[in-house]
Amino acid sequence: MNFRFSPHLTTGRDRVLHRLFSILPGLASWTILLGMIGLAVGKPRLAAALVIAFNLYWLLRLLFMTLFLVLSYLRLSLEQDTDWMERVRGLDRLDPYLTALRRSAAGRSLRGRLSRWLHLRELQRVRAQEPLPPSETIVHLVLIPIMKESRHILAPGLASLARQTFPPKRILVVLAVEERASDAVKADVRELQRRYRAVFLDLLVVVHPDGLPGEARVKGANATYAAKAAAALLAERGIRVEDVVASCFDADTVVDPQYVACLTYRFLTCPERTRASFQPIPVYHNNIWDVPSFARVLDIGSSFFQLIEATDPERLVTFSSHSMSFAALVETGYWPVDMISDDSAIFWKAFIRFDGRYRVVPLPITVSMDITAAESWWKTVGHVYRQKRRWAWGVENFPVVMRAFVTSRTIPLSARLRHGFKLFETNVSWATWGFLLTVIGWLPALLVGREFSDSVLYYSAPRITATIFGLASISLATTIILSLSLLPKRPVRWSSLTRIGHALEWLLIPIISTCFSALPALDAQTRLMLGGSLEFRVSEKGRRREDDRRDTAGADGGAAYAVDELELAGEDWRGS
Amino acid sequence: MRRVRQLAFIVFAAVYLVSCPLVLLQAFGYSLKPGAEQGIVKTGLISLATTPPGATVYLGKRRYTKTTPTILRGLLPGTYDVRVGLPGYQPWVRTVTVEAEKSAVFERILLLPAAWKQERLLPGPFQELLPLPGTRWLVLRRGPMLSDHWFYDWKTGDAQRLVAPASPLAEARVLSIGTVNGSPALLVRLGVPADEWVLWIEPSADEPRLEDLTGLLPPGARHITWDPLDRRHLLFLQDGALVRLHLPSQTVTLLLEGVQGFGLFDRALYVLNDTGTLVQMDLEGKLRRPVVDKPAGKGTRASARRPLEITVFSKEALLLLGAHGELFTPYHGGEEWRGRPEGSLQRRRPLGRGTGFTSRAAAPLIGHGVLGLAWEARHQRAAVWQKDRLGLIEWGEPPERDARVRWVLEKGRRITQAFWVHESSHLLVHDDDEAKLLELTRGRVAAVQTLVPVRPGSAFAYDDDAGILFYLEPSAGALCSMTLLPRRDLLSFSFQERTTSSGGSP
Repeated sequence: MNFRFSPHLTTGRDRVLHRLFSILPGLASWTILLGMIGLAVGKPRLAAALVIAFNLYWLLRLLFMTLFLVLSYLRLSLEQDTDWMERVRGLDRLDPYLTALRRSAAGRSLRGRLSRWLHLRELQRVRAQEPLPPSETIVHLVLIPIMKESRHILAPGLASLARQTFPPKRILVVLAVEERASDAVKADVRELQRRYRAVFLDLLVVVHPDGLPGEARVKGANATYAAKAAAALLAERGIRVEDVVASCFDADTVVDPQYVACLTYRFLTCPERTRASFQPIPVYHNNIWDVPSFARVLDIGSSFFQLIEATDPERLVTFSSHSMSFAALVETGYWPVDMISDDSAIFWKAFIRFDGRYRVVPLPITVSMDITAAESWWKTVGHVYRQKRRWAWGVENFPVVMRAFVTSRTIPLSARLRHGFKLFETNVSWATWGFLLTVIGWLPALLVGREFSDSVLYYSAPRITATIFGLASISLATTIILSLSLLPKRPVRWSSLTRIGHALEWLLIPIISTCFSALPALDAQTRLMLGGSLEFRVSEKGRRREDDRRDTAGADGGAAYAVDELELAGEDWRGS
Repeated sequence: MRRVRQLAFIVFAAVYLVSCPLVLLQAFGYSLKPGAEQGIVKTGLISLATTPPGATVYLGKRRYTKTTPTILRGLLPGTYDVRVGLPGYQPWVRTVTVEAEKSAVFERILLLPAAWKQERLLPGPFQELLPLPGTRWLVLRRGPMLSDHWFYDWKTGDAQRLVAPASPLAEARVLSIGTVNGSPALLVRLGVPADEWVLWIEPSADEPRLEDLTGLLPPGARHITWDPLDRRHLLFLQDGALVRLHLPSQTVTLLLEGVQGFGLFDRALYVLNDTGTLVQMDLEGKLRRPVVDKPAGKGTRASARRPLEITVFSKEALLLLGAHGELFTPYHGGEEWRGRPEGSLQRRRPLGRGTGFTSRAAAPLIGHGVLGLAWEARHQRAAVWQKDRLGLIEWGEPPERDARVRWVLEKGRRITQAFWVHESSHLLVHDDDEAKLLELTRGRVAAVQTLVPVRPGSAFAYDDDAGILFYLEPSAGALCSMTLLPRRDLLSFSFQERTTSSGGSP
């Protein structure tokens, strides 16, 4: 379907539709919240009944999500020791590899045995497909948009790419720098190019001009410009776009050494590989011990959410650092240049472009990024809030997507309904659940007058609510256990008391979920509803270096860094 | 994974669709009635909480495994014989009517000891006990002279004469003793031959402190009062003028003329002037605000001066007491309600509804014979008594704040005192020289128990924080105490199932 994926290029009926769908999520959220408040005041019994029904729904949904969080985590841990490059090489000689695999010992650990069993099952399926392209033909394109990140933020990511088990010589790295970036940043980038160019297929530095017509100051515009430059280079070298896998990483992304190999394997074994994106599990381990607890809890929660989403590939949407077929990217027209949420928008753009025949393949591997941080606690609060609001601004996709769905005659109805409902419901629940659970749900009990204090409901409702929240603690306990398992190795300087504190900080969830999840989401939806917009702000990231100095984006530049810094960054990453 | 997810979704959805209606039905008191006539029936519950907790609950002949505080759920509508028992205490027995979807709440049940703990504190004979409410002191009188009067500290058990026997004032006859709630100080009028003295007497660690106010207070001064937290100022009426006496400097200041009555609360004066306007002033005499939104309407003639005592319980609860025991409320009228034995309410007669208040135009809340008031802050209400009946005054919601009187005891003989007991669940009443404990349930007296006889002509004292009644034995005149409430021990504190109690009285 040919569709102009943009919130700005609308006229006539499209504009009306776009405006209508822009209002819908915010209107629904506010209606729910204000409606519940009104009911709590005017009809407290009805409100109490609705609260009970909602709490029960929330509990079951929470248990449901916890179940799949555990399953997804197990799936992730199954592949923890997998040599993906070996599997890639095995695909090049599938039959002998399959035979050898069957004959080989299953291994001692249950994890190894399960991983092997799943791998065998998959190879059986792959064998039935049409022949796979040779793995040597696959080239990876890694785009890293940069605005104000210093080399201390960028270097570990490049180092991790240089350490890939997949041959780095088949990785083309493009550092996409904004023209308006500072000279220090540009100098850092040049230095990194100088240092790493020989490691990769090539390391381009592409400067994105400021103020190109039709573009907003968004990351997607930078990435698109760089991708086009890369496409030209690939064409020069005779590399087909169908053989290229493009990855767009945040500047602070540090990848597992097996990431590219895993991605290659998934790409090769994916049916209709040029109609797929590939989503790893984002974790925020680069500076997880250097940030306030609320920020840590929030981003671990984000990782968990992605883990859960990975169990539902049919409705999975790309988020943050991800990969996709470069052929699909080119055919789709690259990332939107006037939308902030480029990571999710590119999925929808491709989905619409290919009439619903596009999907996201979850990768059982992690990529590590930074948690937003600043010099002070309060500044971190502000930055975290703005970042979450920017994430919630993904709601800007809703009117665009729904406009396409309404007008499409080629996307299957079931797909439109499924995705449309999920997009709507996800955003509305994001903005409302925190408030309903922590504040509004208690209003009927607080506001109920003396005339209801002699009712059975007055005595039953608190008991039922307490039981529900008691059962929900099962989920909380599971989350705490998994979070402790997923976290990187702690620096030795933390005491046992601090570790206990790290577990207990999950008790802050009610406050955190309201202030830093529901509130920013409601903020974003309200802005969209009122016709406002959001300015793209690069999140501040800060990592503590070995000398305990915090490096934030935009800090010193120019001086060459020593090899030991590179090694240290690698060690930090290896520990995560 | 896709199939697992689909299957899990179906299971969870089914669980929700089945459990949600069941949970909601239970929340509203619906229950599945077993047996031949199976069906969904509406149920009610009984909530019980006792002091002390841990009592065994019997419903009819069934004994519940849980002890108080507890909630008996899933009860079919009807009447139930509820018995609550605890070793060492009298059983609490009630016939409770359970209605569908309603809860019968008894959350302040006071279990009365099988044997009251009584103690003789001071040997007699004392002729009279004068309580000093809100303090740890009592005044005991053995005779008419000043030296026959004692301060008694019931916390320490120490007693001190108001004056030493060797004092020149020891043989002065006490004419009257003025007290203020919350203050241990006394304003004592003494009669000496051909003269009258006024003393300010306060207890202290060693011996009472005396201050001679004779000459500072004019002979016609009436309604002398002071702020219990600020003993520097005395306020009184003199010939219709409100006067302030500053004790340290002994200066007298005329605050306002044309005053019918005044009251003091939270360092503010509430003054009713001759035009019938009720205003709030500070202690310097500066006007703050009118208490009634609309002052006395135009055309209302100024009423004849009628002395009134203004009792201020809170900023919203204010009553005016006349010389003949008539009780007025300053807001937009009031209503007197009489509770019928069946529990329904009947409006007796509407009182004056006007803009503001005038002492002549508005009909009183109670026409005559009011002897005393006792404020209960928890539910913002007051107990009021006449000689033979006891009632509760409740205020409505702002802005009208209509006051209503509900008579709960109408067969009294000679009621002279009343105290709220145990979170306002009971009233301790001094009736015909007996201390009686009234249990209040849903605004009515559910039970009356006579505790002890009290020396005729003497009052008794009660402190609800300590739960102790102080009285004089009828015959020996000894000072005795009786413990009404169990000691509040943190170790035995137990949380009720309901974390917030119901708004109404049991």
